[in-house]
Amino acid sequence: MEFEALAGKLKARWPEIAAPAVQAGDRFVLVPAERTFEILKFLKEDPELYCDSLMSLAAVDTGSEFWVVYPLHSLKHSHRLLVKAVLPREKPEIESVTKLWGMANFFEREAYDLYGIVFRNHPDLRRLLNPPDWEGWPGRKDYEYPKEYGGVPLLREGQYFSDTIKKVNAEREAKEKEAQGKAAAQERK
Amino acid sequence: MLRHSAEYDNIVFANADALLNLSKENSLWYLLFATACCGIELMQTGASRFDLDRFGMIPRPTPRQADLMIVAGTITHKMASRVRRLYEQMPEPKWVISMGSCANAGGPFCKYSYSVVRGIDKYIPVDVYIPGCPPRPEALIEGVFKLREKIRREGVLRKEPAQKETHGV
Amino acid sequence: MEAENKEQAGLAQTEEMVLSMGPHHPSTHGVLRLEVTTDGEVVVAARPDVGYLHRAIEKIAEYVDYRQFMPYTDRVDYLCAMNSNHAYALAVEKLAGIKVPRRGELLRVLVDELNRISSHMICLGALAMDMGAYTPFLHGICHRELVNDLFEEVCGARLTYNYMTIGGVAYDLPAGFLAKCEDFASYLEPKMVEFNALITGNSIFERRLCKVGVIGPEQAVNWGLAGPNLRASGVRWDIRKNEPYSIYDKLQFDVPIGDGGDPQGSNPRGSLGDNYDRYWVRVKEVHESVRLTRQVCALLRENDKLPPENPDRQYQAKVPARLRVKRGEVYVRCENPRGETGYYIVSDGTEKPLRVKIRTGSFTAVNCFEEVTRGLLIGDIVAVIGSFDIVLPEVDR
Repeated sequence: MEFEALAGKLKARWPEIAAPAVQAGDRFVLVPAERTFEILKFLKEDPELYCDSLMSLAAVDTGSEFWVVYPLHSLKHSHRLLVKAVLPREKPEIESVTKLWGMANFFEREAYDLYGIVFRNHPDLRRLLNPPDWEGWPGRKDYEYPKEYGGVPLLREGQYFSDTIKKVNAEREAKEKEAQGKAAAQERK
Repeated sequence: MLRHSAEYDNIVFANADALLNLSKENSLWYLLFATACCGIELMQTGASRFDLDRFGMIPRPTPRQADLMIVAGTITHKMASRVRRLYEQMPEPKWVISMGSCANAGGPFCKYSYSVVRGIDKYIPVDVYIPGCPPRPEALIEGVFKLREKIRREGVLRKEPAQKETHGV
Repeated sequence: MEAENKEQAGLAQTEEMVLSMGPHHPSTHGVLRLEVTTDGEVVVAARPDVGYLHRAIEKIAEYVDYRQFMPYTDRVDYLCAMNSNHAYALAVEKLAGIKVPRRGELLRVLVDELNRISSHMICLGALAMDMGAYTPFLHGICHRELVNDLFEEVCGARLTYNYMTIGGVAYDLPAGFLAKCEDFASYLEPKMVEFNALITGNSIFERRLCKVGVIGPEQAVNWGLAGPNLRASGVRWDIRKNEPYSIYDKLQFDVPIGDGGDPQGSNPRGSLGDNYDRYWVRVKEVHESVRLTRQVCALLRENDKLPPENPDRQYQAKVPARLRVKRGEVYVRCENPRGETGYYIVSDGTEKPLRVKIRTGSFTAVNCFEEVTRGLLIGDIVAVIGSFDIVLPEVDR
């Protein structure tokens, strides 16, 4: 089935679904965050759509909001669909889909670990990739890198993170100008 | 523990040292510790084309039977405490080779990553650093030869303090 | 067994023990930690604990250009770096609307298939080594060294190649390369026969792998397994055939699937979807890759005859120096020796991506570990890890 047919079938049942036009890349279907589980359940079990394979589960931080994206695929009918749910930044919560696809377990744990998105009814929601006592949500755009972990500083002497490099260069230039000014003043004396 | 003193700088102890160093450098058993891409190069160096067995080096899975730890691959903060524990489980005399840019100073992840340790010498003392991403097997063998030169300079009977300081900053 | 029954029967009371098959273990292929709860030798639960190699590659993607990210895709799966490069290049080209010229496509497929052969050599050798047979591993590495030599001639590196670029490949082939490729293809086939005579069909090998770790076809799809793991469970799905990319729709090759339990098949004493099926699918895939290499070499020889000004003779498309990609998102996947590598890239119209999410085959394989190893013996865990062909940087990125 083509994208228009898939989107049309979904819109017939849930009118609040949108399928916006895109400049480049794949088209996607925008679903409200509270209805995600039932819409995905319908996509998985309806015999015409039968999306039995969840290809991946991605969480995105656009700076103003979070997206949770489910690329779906049907082995029987060979069609694909990209389903996207938008979550507010202050309280990102969504229903877990581990009951539908067992593979979502690790993907949702990773999204929780990196972005802090809470998946309700997940069997075991805890950090996956970072150590259990890591603080903060590293994937977010406003994440501040820690200075040290376990007593060991993160950087070596002479290394900088990219965001601080401009500040450090500016400070160094200011110091050099000051030193030059002082040397010139010394010479005049 | 014998301290270095002039009465031990004679022909008997020097030759005894040379003999013991010869036996140590020609049978370095390395710990099979591989994390990432450099681990594959380590395995390929131990395989038949660039054979490490002809230098007397065989891989041991357990640290209790190893004298050399070749840290091959990226070390993250989650893994670093385990590396330290493995190092402490190795019996003396022991040496560490840091193989590849990731173990030397963080590698290609040194600028933007939040979870990579910038150099394993923050946690354990390192004897030889081998640059490369990944270093060629010939480079690893050259690093092993440098370590053997270092071992030749050691004095077993004229001992130095056993605990080496970590010098990573 | 309940406590009262045991005491009545005069047997000792047992407790479950929690072992840590720790991050440093000779048989886990990398730094994987399993918290194994065992009742004697029988495993009650084996929960994987990953993250010991989390290098934040996806976060790095937000700081670097599209082109600068290519070496990092090598390090995601270093055993088949060319396939990882290919998947990322395909995703960016789809988003930016860049078309790769014909010679570039041919070169890409050639190195993909060679890398598939070398990756399977390590996997099969490592599986045999975990079962206790050391010789097949050395044979596998010996063949892999020849592929490394070929790649060193093409791009200069033995392991992390960074050979593909957005729009094509970085270098053209050196003189005499195609003859060496074809020599390698004819060298490998009798060596695979020798490899099979060495280990496949060995009764100890069979008894350790047959009927262990059985995964049915619906379970395999639900758990998101991909590549040889999925095909061993009987699902005929290969991205190169069903969603063809590059020039795979013009090449002839078969897709081997598992046939456990079939008396005429290659796994008569096992069941569909067990470890031995996963092993056999990879052995057959090596033969298919050799076939593909020969076909692509023939196509490249034809392509060599064209004059240099012909657009089909180019290996790199014209890409602007500052590559700005339009707003949008794309999900593209490629067939990896380890499963499928899917790249989900979101672009916000600038030179750096907004988000790159990498979906790898080993991630879902580690996910289903707990279910597959329930009720097996501790030694079987090693067999299951080896037959899934897990590489930890794919899991942790």
